[in-house]
Amino acid sequence: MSASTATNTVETEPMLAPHGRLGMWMFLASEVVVFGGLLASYIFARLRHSSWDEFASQTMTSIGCINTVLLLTSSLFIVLSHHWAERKDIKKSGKYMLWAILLGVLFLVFKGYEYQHEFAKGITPLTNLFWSYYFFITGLHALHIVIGLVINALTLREIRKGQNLQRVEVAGLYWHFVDVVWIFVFPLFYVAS
Amino acid sequence: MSSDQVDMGHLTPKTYTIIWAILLGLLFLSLFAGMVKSPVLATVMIFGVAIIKAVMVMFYYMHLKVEIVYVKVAVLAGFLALFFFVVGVYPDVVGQFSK
Amino acid sequence: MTSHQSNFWNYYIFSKDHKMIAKQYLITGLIMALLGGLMAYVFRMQLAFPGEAVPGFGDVDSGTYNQLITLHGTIMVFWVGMPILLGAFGNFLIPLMIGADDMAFPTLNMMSYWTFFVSTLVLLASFFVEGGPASSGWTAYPPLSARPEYSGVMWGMNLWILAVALEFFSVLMGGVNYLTTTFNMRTKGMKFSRMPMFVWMQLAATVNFMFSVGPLIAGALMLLLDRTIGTSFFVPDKGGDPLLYQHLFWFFGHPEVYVLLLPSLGIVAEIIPTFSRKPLFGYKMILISTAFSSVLAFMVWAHHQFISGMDPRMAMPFGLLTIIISVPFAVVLFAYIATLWKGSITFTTPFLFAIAMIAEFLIGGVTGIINGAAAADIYVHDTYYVVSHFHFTLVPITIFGMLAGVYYWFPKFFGRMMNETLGKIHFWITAITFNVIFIPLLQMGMGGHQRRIPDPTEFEYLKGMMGMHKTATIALIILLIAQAFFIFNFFYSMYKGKKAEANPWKSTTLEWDAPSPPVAHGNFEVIPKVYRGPYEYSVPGCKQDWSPQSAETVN
Repeated sequence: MSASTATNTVETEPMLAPHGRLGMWMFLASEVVVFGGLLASYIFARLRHSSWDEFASQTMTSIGCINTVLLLTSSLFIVLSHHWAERKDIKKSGKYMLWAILLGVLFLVFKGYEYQHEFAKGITPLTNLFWSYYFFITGLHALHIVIGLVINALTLREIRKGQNLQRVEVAGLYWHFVDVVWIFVFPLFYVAS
Repeated sequence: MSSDQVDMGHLTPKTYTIIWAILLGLLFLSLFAGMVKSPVLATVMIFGVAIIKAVMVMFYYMHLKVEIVYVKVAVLAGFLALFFFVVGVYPDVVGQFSK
Repeated sequence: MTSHQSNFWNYYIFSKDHKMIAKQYLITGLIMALLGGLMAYVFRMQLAFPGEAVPGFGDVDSGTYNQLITLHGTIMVFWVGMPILLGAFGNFLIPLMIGADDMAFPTLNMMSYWTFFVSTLVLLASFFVEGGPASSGWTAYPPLSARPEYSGVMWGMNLWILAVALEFFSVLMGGVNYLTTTFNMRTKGMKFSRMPMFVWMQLAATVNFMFSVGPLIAGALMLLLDRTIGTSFFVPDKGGDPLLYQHLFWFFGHPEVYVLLLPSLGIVAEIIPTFSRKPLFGYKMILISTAFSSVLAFMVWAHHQFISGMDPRMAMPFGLLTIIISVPFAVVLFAYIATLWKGSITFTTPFLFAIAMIAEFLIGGVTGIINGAAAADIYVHDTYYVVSHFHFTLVPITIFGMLAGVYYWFPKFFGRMMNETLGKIHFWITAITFNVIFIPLLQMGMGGHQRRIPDPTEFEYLKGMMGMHKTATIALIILLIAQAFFIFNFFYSMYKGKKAEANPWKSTTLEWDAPSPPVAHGNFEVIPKVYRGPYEYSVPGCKQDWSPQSAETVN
């Protein structure tokens, strides 16, 4: 059963899209409002506190950059994994999925280093409201990365077994979403203006 | 027979990689924009770039461009809900009556 | 697809079958309803007889009072309304009504119920921790809710937040299932335009939930952080903004009431045509009104915040949109009433509850107008007028609509008929006492009686209202006792009720094609095909007064 021609086993009205893909998009559409609402709250607070520009300049822009590159690249790898899964090339698909996972892990490593650097300077979520938002938003995003890594690892297992290859696309959608969130988080905290 | 054939034939690994290169280029553009003198212009550039990057990932990596209309509507609805939230909350949290 | 393991654990406990999951939601929800109702008994006794120990409970001090009202509201909305209207009826009926053999994601469905079950345990656990359960109102406004030292409640409130968050995840999982199933698994001939209104309403409710819950998830996490590690997202002395929380909460809170209302309207939409032998009036109009009101639902939330100190210039747009939103809902209700016109009516118990839902909800809607007009709301906000308004909307939704659905689909759920006599007694006592409780509350609110206070006699100007308090409390006690008729009927009929045929009400929609109860795996003996719309009753020229959706020809 290929990714794009799934059908029901009894006669039905035409399927709109394979279950997994459709379901994941619905979920992601709702997640837009989760992160969107959170980022909007942060932006509101930021607009009220001009002093926050100073705090924003204290975040590690270089690490933020590296992490952006890591996520963008891992997004590339996961869409390539999906591309080869569709063509039933298990080896290539598995290779790219593995790379996507590794880059995701690297993201967390850099994030950990970043947090540790901040703690060493005496900056915690309680330092002030800016840092509360910073740790909360990047932390929530990192949690979503962890969840994504679990999903990707499970999907990699399926790829290696050569089964349920349609799930690669679904895993990819979630992973891209986490990347898109980061695309907005990055300028909000790391590019001081 | 199902109507879920999403035409991804024209998107090759090469295309995906080109998109990736563009995304990286946009990233560096936004860093550059951080050094622009006018804060307003800088903000517009930085967020403009972010929006373009997000749209590219959604359209090409998530294949939103060729997805069925229900999915496009769902994603739009998410952004619309977000828009209502921003418009309704902004005066209270940023405006003159906020603390 | 559903697997065929049939050991005890897989069949009853970790079932992936939508029908079993629906029953799990139903029973859990009904038990929680009892708990929520008993809480109302306790705090209403305190209100009617302040300072006296409540029989069966004990003394109610102000902290305990706050906990009771908080948990009453929380339980009724999140642990009764959502699980029964969405979880139970949605899960059971969506596949059956569209001619599918199960949901699109059976495993996810199972996880959705068990997440909900865990959330129930977490909430119940909050009763037993030191300091007791949450006490900041179901709305949990900071700063009171943001610092444990303000309310004296520590882990109770944290567990409350956790429980609500888990419940949200459960509903989100369910929502993904409902949307995907409805989009993808409709049987041949079941075009969107032929779907029963109930299915449309479940979809609309799901959409309302999915796009509104986001900011509150963010806000709930921020509140939890404020409480546990001491951040100040919502605490003003460190730069936080309590008003932001209110917006985060009500942006969800308002669509949430439609998440509850729409499935209930869907239930009524199925019952009215069946017992009037007439098609649902204005199917398309109802759909358009529902879509329109679903969009508006996201634009009215600050009418809950008119006197919060919000920007007064925003009062006008929010107020105006609130008044406008009453129009599409009125259209839906009038369409239901028009369905009755010149119908051939049978006054069964489900029909009575359905009619009562419409009538009482109309009162609720009308009383809402004063709340929605910002200037008038200044007078009634935080009074019993509001309490009465939302009970005149929520009780018809979660109690009358829910009961209508239970009585109507009981034969399909359990294969037996409920007792009509007991049902009618249950109905009349419930309907009458409900009004006796809440009509005085309208008057009390107009008279200036503020809400959320444990002892009205502390205020001179409220002493004259104690008579109404006592009346309401006594009516509530009778209401609660009358539920015994339902509880007995429900469990007795499950085992000893008259065996039900597949289609005891001679209804046209697909769920009645399946046997009562449906085939354990696959629902239908033969998956039906659909040849016509869902409400073909009394078709001119037809001898039979109903034309089932699945019958190729009808004479």
